[in-house]
Amino acid sequence: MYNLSELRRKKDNVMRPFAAWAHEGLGITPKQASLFSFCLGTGAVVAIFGGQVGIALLFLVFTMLVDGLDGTIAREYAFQSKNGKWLDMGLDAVNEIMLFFALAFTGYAEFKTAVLASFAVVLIRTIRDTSGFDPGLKRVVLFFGYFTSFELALQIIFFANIAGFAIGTVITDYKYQKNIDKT
Amino acid sequence: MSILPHILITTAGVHALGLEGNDVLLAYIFGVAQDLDHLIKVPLYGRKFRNKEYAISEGRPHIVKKVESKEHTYEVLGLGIKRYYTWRTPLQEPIALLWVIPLSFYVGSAIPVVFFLLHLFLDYLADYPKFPLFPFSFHSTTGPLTGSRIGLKEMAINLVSLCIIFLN
Repeated sequence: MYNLSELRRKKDNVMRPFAAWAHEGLGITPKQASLFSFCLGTGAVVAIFGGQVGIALLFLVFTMLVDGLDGTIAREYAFQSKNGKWLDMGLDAVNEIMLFFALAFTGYAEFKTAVLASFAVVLIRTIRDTSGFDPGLKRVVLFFGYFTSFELALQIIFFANIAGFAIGTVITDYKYQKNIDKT
Repeated sequence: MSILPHILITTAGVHALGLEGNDVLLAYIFGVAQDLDHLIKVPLYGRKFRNKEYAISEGRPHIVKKVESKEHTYEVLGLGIKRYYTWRTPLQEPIALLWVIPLSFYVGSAIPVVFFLLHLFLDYLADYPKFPLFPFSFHSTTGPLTGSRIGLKEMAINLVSLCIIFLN
């Protein structure tokens, strides 16, 4: 569990040299990075359908690395926009849902769990910007699932994000109450 | 709604449905325990109203002040009781169905949803302001059936619940 703005600041510190290389050296924009990350994520989905879960996780590593670049490039080079943010958030969610269902279709997890985990990762995104809180347990849990079971990984994703949503609503309410109490 | 009607109606529900084991636990978690969320607001409440000082300075035992805010009116009472302070959090508003329903699916039981709705029903009988869709909407409502006195409603609920408990 973490504070979003603090995490972004730390992440930007790590990603800054890579973002500089990607943007200044290769001319990559944040939107291009988001799309490229989505393509890599789709590669992971294809690999799961091909029965190559190990390769899928390798794709996932690169997906997450590239996905980490878009926000840093946007913040460092003043590309921040609502559209870009929505594109990044939407593509990430679609990619996660594709991964969960790929695991369900190939028998690594139950459909019910895939549906619930998908719902939870969408739900947490509706509140995390106002609450500033996100458990951060989404695709990354799949690596844990590789060594245990993907069914368990999806259950963790469901629980963490559904709880994150509930906590997020309370945090938002607390902030709001604090604000109106000042009046 | 105070805690007693919640406890009694949940107990009545448990008896009426013949629940056992984990189902009883779920019933009390979603029927009663969510009221613990009021504790979250205690620090804010203490900061907002310095109860004793205010009551003493006003020297009146009943309503001593109305605090109008954009959202609703607080009635500041003597002895430090502040009616209509928003003690509720979204954990016990209809918006919570977004996580209670999936959780019910996960556990494969309707108990969380049923007892959560029962809790909501009682709360919406009371006349304090509620924010059913917060944080996605600031729409505020007092809910239906807020015309008659809350004490009377609580008494009726308690009686009906006790009847159900003893008849089962």
